[in-house]
This record gives sequence, C-alpha cells and structure tokens, in this order.
Amino acid sequence: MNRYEFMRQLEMLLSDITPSERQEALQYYNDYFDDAGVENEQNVVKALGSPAKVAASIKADLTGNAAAGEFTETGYKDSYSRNQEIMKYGQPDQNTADQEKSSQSENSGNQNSSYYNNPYSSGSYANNPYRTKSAADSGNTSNTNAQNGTYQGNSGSSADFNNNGGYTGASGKSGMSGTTLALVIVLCIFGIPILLPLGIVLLGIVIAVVAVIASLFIAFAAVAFSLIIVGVVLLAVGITKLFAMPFGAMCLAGGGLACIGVGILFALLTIWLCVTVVPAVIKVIADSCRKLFSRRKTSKV
Amino acid sequence: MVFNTGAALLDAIVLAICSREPEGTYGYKITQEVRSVIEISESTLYPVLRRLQKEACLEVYDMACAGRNRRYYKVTERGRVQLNLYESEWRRYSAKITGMFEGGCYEQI
Repeated sequence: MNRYEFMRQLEMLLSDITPSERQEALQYYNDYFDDAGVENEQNVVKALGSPAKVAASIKADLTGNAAAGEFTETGYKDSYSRNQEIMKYGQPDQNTADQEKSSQSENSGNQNSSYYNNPYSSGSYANNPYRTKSAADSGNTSNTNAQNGTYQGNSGSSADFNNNGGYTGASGKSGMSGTTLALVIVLCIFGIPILLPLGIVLLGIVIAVVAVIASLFIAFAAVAFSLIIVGVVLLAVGITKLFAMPFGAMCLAGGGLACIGVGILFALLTIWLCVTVVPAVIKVIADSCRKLFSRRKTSKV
Repeated sequence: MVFNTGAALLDAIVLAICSREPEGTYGYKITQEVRSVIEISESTLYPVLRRLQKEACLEVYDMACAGRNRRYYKVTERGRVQLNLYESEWRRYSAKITGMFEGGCYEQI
C-alpha cells in the first residue's frame, strides 16, 4: 500500500466524523508523510499499521474513551500524597479547612458536569491547572484542591479506565513484536558460530556425566554380583569340605562370608547410586535446561 | 518497555517536547522524539495532540516550509501550567519509587 491509497482509505473510514475533525486528521497524516520524506513512505505506512487502526484511534479519542486512563494513576497518586500532606501539616486551621471543603464540592460538581456533558474534554485534570493558577498565592491550599479534584474525578469515571489499558498495551505490543522478532533472528544468525560449539560442548559434558554414572553403576553392580557369587561358592565349598580338612575349609568359608559382605556393600552402593545420584543428576540437567529456556523467554518479552 | 505509559505521562512527555522549542514543533518530529523515550505506535500521537489542542494546552499554526504548509504545535500558557503540574507530580512520584527501591523508607521523602 502506498501513501495515497492509505490516505484514501483513511478518508473513507473517517467519513462518519465531522468534516472539521476529518480535515484535521487527514492534514496531520499528510504532514506526517511529507515530513517523513518519500524515502520513508513505506516505513511510515508499515509503522502506522492499517488505515482502520489509525481511524479507530482517532474515533476512540473523539468519543472520549482514551481520556479516561490518567484518572487511575493520578487518582491513586494524589490520594496518597494528599494523606501525606495532611500528615505533614497536621491539623489545618478552620479557615483553610472550610475553603478546602467548599472548593472540593464545587470541584466535584464541576467534574460530574464535564463528565456527562462533554465526555471528551477529559475531565478533572484539565480543570485543575486553572484552579491551581487562580489560587496560586494561597500556596498549599490550592495544591490540595487540585489534588482533591483529580481524586473525585477518579471515582466518577472509573468505568472508563479499562479502555486506556488496551490503548497503551496493545499498541506497545504490536510495535514491539516485529522488531523483537527481527532482533532475535539477527541474534540467532550472529550467535551461531559461538552458540553452536558452546551447545556441543555442553551436550558433550552432559553425555560424559551420564556415561560416567552409567559406567559406575555397571561396574558396582558387576563387582557386587561377582563378589556375592564368589562368596556363596566359597562358603559352599568350605561347608562341604568342613569334615575333610577343617582348617582350610573354615578359612574358605570365612573368606566366602567376607566376600558376601563386601558384595552386599557394593550392592547397597549400587542401589544408592540408582536412587539418589541418578535422580539428582537428572534434576540438575532438567533445571538448567528450564532456566536456559525461561531466560530466553523473558529476554524475548 | 516493561512499564505501561499512562495517558497522563504521555501528555506530559508531549507537552515537554513541545515546550522545548519556542516556536513549537511538528507532528512527525514530536512522534520521533516521543518514540526515542517510550515505545508507542506511531498512530498513538495524533489523538493525544488533538486532545491537548482541544484542552487548549497546545495551539496550532501553519508555517510555510519547502513549498507547503507545515502544522506546528506550540505550548500555551495553560499547557505550561499543566506541564509544571506534571513535572512536580513526576518528581514526587519518581522520588518515592526510587526511595522505595533503594531504601524501602519512602516515608522520609
């Protein structure tokens, strides 16, 4: 899509708003293309997204949705700092308190009317500067008034504040995913000469560890098995020859028992290896894998 | 960016950018400068500028440039007051957050 198609579609999509608003928006985007220059035309078209999206953002603001978000933030912030101020200055004297109360109610009335009659004038915070300005010489009071006003506005229009989350969140995400994806791809391409050998080395280490454990297991099992067999055989021979040659037979039987003992020890070692070491190693490997992938995931986000 | 930018902060940034030039500045440049500090899509700025203009925080005028008229946005007196409010609020807010991160004793600030 080129600039002229974009503008024509945008104009069509904006046909249901007032001619002056449409004129403003079209002029803005015309200027935008002019200032970006012919060489950036395609980039701008791409960055703006679809004409439908642009038209939606213009209309959303006209119907007053986009102006609501700040109330949550300023409201929260101000209610907090107001408390602080009261803490700091202690009990306000009667005069100040009265003044504060009256202008607060006045302010809240103001909020409501502007909220209902003129939804896109963005309510409270637009009114505040005047209040601040008009009462600038009375110092703290004016400041508190301004904050009260904003806070009131918050409760009045909390129904709207969802729209704003969508507006920053969605636009941020769609702008990011493209560039991040490209970045990740570039990183992968440049990372291959480093990452590939590194990965192979890591894989080698893991395989070596597994092989060592496996060979230890096999060796221990073999030793245990053969020692027990030898011990049993020696014991049997010793018992059968007990009467023919008692001393030699006793030695044989004793040696056999000792062999069986050591064999059982090795068997226990094998079982311990099986039960404790193997799961531990598997867990370590799995954990490091998971950490690797989750780190990749967070860096992507 | 990890942190969302609320509409008030966006307004504050736009007002700050416009107030740096005595003659005001134009849409494309504002967009680029905003995008140099926060991540927003390019279509977000027009509604913000239009709203600030309606609230009389910004005024627009056309100036001839390279054989055409370019629309400039300039901060009004009201916009300046609004910007001051935003700036002091921001200082307070960011000091509290910083204090919370660094010492956990935000009540002293």
